[in-house]
Order: sequence, then structure tokens, then C-alpha cells
Amino acid sequence: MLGYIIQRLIQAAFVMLAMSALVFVGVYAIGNPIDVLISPDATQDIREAAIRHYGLDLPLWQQYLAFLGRLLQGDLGRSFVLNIPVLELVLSRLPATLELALAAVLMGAFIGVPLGIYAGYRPESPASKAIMAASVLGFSVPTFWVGLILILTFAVNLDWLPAGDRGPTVEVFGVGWSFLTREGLAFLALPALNLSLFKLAMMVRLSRAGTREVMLSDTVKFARAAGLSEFTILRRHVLRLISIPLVTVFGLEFGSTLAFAVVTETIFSWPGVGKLIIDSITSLDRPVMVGYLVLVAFLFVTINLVVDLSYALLDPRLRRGRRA
Amino acid sequence: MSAALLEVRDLRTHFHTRAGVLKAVDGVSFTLARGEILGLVGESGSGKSVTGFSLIGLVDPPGRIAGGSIRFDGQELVGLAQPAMRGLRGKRIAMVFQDPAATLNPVLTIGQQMAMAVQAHGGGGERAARELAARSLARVGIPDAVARLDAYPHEFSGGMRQRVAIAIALLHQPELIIADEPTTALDVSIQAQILAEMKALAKESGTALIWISHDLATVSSLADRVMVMYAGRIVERGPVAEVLHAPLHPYTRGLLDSLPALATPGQRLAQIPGSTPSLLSLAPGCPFAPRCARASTACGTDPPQVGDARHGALCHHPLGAGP
Amino acid sequence: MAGFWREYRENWVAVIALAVVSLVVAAALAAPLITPQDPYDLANLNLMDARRPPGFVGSGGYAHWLGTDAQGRDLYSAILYGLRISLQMGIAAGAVALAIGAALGILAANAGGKIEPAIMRVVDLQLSFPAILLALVLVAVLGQGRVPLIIALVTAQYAYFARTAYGAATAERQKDYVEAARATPLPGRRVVLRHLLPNCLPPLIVVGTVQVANAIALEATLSFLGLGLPPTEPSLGMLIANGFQYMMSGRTWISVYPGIALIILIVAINVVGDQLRDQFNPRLRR
Repeated sequence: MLGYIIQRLIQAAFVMLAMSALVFVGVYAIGNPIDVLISPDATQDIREAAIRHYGLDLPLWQQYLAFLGRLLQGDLGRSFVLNIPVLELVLSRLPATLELALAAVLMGAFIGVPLGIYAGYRPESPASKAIMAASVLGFSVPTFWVGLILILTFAVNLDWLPAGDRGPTVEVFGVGWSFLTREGLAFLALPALNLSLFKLAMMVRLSRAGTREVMLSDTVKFARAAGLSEFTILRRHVLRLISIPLVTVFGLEFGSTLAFAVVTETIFSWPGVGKLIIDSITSLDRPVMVGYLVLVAFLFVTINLVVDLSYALLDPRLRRGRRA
Repeated sequence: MSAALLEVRDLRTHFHTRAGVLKAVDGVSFTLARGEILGLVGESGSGKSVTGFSLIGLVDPPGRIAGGSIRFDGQELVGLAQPAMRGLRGKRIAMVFQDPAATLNPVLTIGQQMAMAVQAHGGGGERAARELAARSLARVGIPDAVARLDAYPHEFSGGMRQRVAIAIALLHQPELIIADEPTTALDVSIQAQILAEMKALAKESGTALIWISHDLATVSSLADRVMVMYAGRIVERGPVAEVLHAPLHPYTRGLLDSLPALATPGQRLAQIPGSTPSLLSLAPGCPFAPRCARASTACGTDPPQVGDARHGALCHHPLGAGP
Repeated sequence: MAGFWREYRENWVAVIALAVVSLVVAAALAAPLITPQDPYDLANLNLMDARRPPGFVGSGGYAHWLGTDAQGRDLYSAILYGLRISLQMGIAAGAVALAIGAALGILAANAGGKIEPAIMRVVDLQLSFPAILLALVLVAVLGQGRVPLIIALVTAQYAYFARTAYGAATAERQKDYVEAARATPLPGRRVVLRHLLPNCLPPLIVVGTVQVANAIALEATLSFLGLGLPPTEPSLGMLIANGFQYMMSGRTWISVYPGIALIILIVAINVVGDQLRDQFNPRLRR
């Protein structure tokens, strides 16, 4: 197991290296790098000083190494607009996004998986057909549009939940969280639901397909022959058997949930990194864009790693095989 | 012998498919005494497995029991409500399947799976369940049973896995075990071991056994009586020795002639010409007639029951009775 | 082909979806002929008509059946013109992504050696990275306009086609007839064109259908975020975004009607794609 972890860590480091190279080429080489590093309003003297300071007169590979060096020290530059270090800015916004994304993914799993198992268990029932039709909608309808409808329905017409913003947070370990108070939860509910719908549809489809397959297997037949109740079979056998692909997708989708938070945060004025990147794009705050990208890439690689490792934990065949 | 444990009358299990009604089991009747071992032999598609699943109430849709009666210890099973049927399954009627690699759940330990089977019928707490499971594993000859409870199926060999499956079937000391080709997926040497152990276990605990197989040789070494199934019907039944040495039905003769163990060395093994008919388009009369050397125009009508209650067959032209 | 259509016809939902897609495409093509107003011609717009509810008869002397937007555009006209843009962008991006992706995938499957893993690594890496982020960054770097938008959509989507083409081509390559064709002294290019490409097409068409819908949704999302096309030529996403601020005050039609048009189009395309997938998938075949 340890050897496997080390092997995966080395792989992750390589992917991270490739990602940083892509970001570097994308923003530093294609765009005018000086625009990225200092404000367009700066004087000629400052510009030239900056060019020397950042080594922009050096060959590209040396620049990349220097960029990597700064990256490793956690130096992602300063925001033009807010004039604070990018890392600090992004990290201060990250908890809000993480909380939102986590709430969305959990909602997707806890609602989607049971619905999907039911739809796979009774594929011909009208309820299952309704669930599947709804999942097609969940896949097709753009997130931003669902967000608008949610606001229109629950905030404007029914006036049950707030239409946007984050509301009050409770400080734990120096970070503010919404889910600890009733009011915070009310603010979290609509954005989380909005962000979860796509994942929910995906979880429904995956668990339905998995359940249909497992229900036809000899494992289920044997469990029935042993007199197990249908509920026990679904809960103990089916859930465990379909959980392996589900966890993989669950983890990978957590990454794309972070990305799609961009849209949801914009609609609901949720103060996370997604709103930050949109604001930085509209205000051409390039260091923030670069910082965000590097950080998201890092999160992606980490998530992939965690998913791979938990995969090994869930599937005993893999676990023992790797240990041998 | 005591009163029959199982009494099956005119069992019919049909599958309603797009192409039409498939009569997988078409009028099967037999009785089984307590502690008796009955072999059910037939080619794939003869309806032998569906018969087994019908008995335990686990016919997959689109199949369903279309008629007949199954009396188990005096209780009618056809039409029995699912909760009551579930109470019997695993408790008084158990089943063992062909491929242990497919029946055991690969992501749960043996102990977890056995505990579930124990607790499906009351069974008390976790500890009691584990103890019962370990005892059952030890009975089927798994060494170091307590430690092996925490192992996963892939950590057992094929033969050991099938022993685990048998141990699960034996957990509640059922009165009837239906074994559906339980040794087909195993190596020949292990087959013989398991066969011998099953026989000993059944005799020792007084469990009746229905052994389903395509292999007449396996069945003959194990069973007291044998039934030969063809196209959803039982074409011949009788004590093993009589069926082997004086078969009545030409189909049984054909099966015997194709067995290597019984053929004369140096002679080519005989094959039954043709293949099993499609159950969707059965002509009236004897379904074996198109492949039968003894067939006549009479075979276009339903064959009569010949022989006696001990050893009988469904045939117009039974062997040993002239053409 | 006749058999294909007969099978398609069995699913009446898919038939309706196909009819809807055809109808929307026809309406978008004929938009200048069947709308009362050119919503992109600023001379036509009258601010007096702005934010009027459905049914209002404006200064043009005709009724705005779906109401007007904040600039006084007739929403019915704006929606049809918006659909035009959405379809243009979706189909253009889908076609370019299909061409690039299929070429890369088939190249990787045929080249072998070091090229194969090199291409597929990049493709897989990109598949694990969300399309919307790539598109967002590209639009930010390249600026707004049709060409940058199409580049962004293509970059976000070609990897799906590459994966599909690669999968189909490697599966196909192992079949006997391709081996046989390779053994004959035909140049490699002809084997690819004659044999591999036609057999990769069905899965590519399925992915292509779904990706056109995705491209339309992505374009609408980018436009909604204000990163799409210039506001003088509002696409559906921008119409929705512009209406968003008036939604709280009860003037819901500005956002809602373009949204409904968008969703009908996307859902219909996806249903058609689902049906094609089922029909092309040999595993689901009876």
C-alpha cells in the first residue's frame, strides 16, 4: 500500500508540473507577460524594472524555472485591483467555495444515489420513469437557468429563502462557515441545490445503471436464496457493489463542481473563488487568474489522488493485490 | 420412508417474451422424501435450473409459475406471499449455485456475508452470528474457520469458495438443499471431493438434496434417484442403478452412450444427432422425436407414461419393449 | 437507413424532439422573414417600448407577443435571432471540434509508438479538467467575439471527440478486415479513409449531437457571465442575463422566455442524441 501511495504521489507531482507548464505557456507566453505582472497604468520605468526583476529578458525555459521557483514559495504575485497577495486573496475566498461545493456534492449523493437505486431496482415503475426523465432535464438544462428559476420561485414568489449573498457565518479555526446556523443554512440552501442538480442527475444515472446490472447478478440471487430481505440486499450488497464507481465519479465531480461554482456563485452573489475569477476576468486582474488556475489545478491533482487511494480502500481485491 | 418432504404436481413455469411464451418447465411432477438425494439431469435449456428456481420462488421476470403445485412439508408454495417465502428461503430450503466466484460478494468479507444470512432469520447478535458462521465453515472442511471469517472471497481458491457457499446454505440446517451444478466450475479433482462431502453432509444431517447437473456420471455417483429432463418435461425417472443399466427413454440411452466412463475403450463416443429444440416453437407430440432413431408417426401425439411408479418414462417406443 | 428510421420511430419522445429541433432550425434560418423587427438594428429600437409585458402594442404598431427587453427589443424577434447565433456557434464549434478531435484520435490510434500515449495523455488530462474553466480562461485571454468564442468552445470540447474516435478506431483496427486491408499494398492513408473513418462515424455523430447541445449551453453560460458575444448582438444567454436584474421586480418575461427557448432546444437535441446513442450501441441491440 505504501509503495502504491508513493507511486501515485510521484505521478501527481508530474501532473502538477505539466499543469503549471500549461498555465505558464497559456498566460505568460501567449498573453503579454508584462500585462500579467504589473498594472497597465504603470510608468515606463516601473515596467522596465519589472521586466528585469522578473527576468523577462531571459530565455523561456529559464523564465519557467523562475516561475516554478516562485510558485514553490507560494508567491503568486499581487492583485492589481485589490493590491494584496493573490495567494492570500484566493485562500480567503476558498472556504466559501469549498463549503458550497461540498454541500452540493453531498446533496447530489444523498438524494441521487437512493433515487438511482430505486430506479434501477424497479426500472418499469412510473416513479422510476419520472426520475429518469427528470435526470435528463438535470443534465440538459444549463446551471445558470436553473439558478434563475430557483430564485424566481423560492426567493421572489414564495419568499421562503434568501435570493443571494452568504449571510451570517460562524468562525471555526479562523474560517467562517454557513452550515452551523439555521440562517446560514437558509442562505446555503438555494446555491447548493443549484450546483448539485447536475451531479444529482449524474448520480441517479450511474447508480441506476449499476443497480440494474447488480440486480441480475448471481450475488443477488444467492442473497435472496439465503432469505435476505430486498431492503438488506439493496443496502448491504447493491450499495457496496456500486459504491466503487460512484466514489470515483463522486471525487472527480467534486473538482468540476468547484469549477461550476463559478456560475452559481455569480448568480447567487456567493463570495467564493468562482465569483473572484469572474470579477478578475472582467477587471483584467491577471495575477488573480493565474493564481486561481494554479490553485484549481492543485486541487484537481489532490482530489484525483484521494479518489485513487479511497478506490483502493473500497475494493479489497485491489487493496490486497497492491500490497502483494 | 416417512411422508414426502416435497410434492410437485404439474409444475409449469413460463417466460413471456416478445417472441412468444417460452414453456421452460412444462408439467413437471415428482416427490422427494426426507433425506433423499435426487439427481435432475438435462442439457442446458432443458428447464432443469428453472425447475430449481421455481421451487425456491426465485424465477426472474419475465418468467413466472403459470400453474401446478409445490407442497413443501404440506405447505403450498405456489402463490405463497413473498414474506412467507422469504422466511423459508435459507432457513428450510437453501440453494447453492454454479459459480462461487459470481455468487459471493467480492467486496464483503465471508463473515459479513454469513452474518447477514444468519440475521435474515433472527439469529441474534453479531457474536452469535459469527459463532454459527465459524461452526458452519468448519463443518464443510475449511481449516482455521474463525480467522477465515475476515477474509474476502478472492482470498479463497475456487473449491474453498464453493465450500463457503455450501456453508452458507447449511447455516440453518435446512431440510432441502437445491444444488444447481455446484461443481461444474471446479477442477475435476475438487469436484470429486465436494461431491463426496456433500453426500456425507446430507446423509449426516438428514437433508434432502436436489442435485441439478448436465452430467449423468456425477449424478449417478451421488443420487438415490434420478430424473432426466428434456424440453421442460421429465422424460424418465427411476432409481439410479435401473436408469443407468436399463434406460427406458431413447434420450437417456443417448446420454449414456455419450459418457466416456461407460463407453467401450477404442470405440468412438456416440453423440445424439441434432440439438435441443427451441422451446418457443415446439411441435405437438414428443419433443425428442426429430432427433430419435426410434421415432414413428405415433410420436406426433403426446407420449404415454410407460413403466411403473418406481421407474418410468414418457415414450411411445420405450427401450426393451420392442420397436 | 429505412430500418434505422423505423427503429427511431418507435420512440415517440425522440420523434417529437427531432421535430422540435427541425422546427427551431427552420425558424432560426427564416428569422428575418418571420419576425417583425431586426433586433440588432439599433435604429429599430425605441426605449419607449422597453420592458413592456407580453401582448403590448408598441410604437411599431404591432403586438409584442412575448414582451420587450430593457432596450425595447421585441423579445420574439430577439429570441429567434438569438437562436440563430446559438445554433451557429454550437454547430460551428461542434464541427471544428469533431474534425480536430477525430483527426487526433484516429492519428493516435494509427500512429502507435510514442505519439499515441502523448496525444492521449493530453486528451485525458484535459477531459479531467472542466470544460467551463478552460473556455472561461481562453475567452479572458483572447478577448470577446465570435472567433475567440469558437476557439474556446472547440478547445473545451475536442477532447471528447478525440477520446471517442480513438476508442472506436482502436476497436476497429483489431478487426480482421482492417488487418487484411493493411496487408494489401494500399497506402496507409487509404486504409484510414476507406475503412477506419466510416466505422468511427456513428459514435462520433452521437457525441457530436450531444456536444452541439453542450456548446450551445456553454456559449449561453459564457454570455450570461458577460464573457460571450458583444452586447449589440445579444445571444440567448445575454438576453437572459440582461433580464436577470428585472426579475426581482416581477418583470420575469425578459429572462424566462429566452430561457424556455434555450432549454427546449438543448433538451430536444439531447433527446435526439440519446436515441441515436441507443440505436448505434451494438450492446443494446436485440
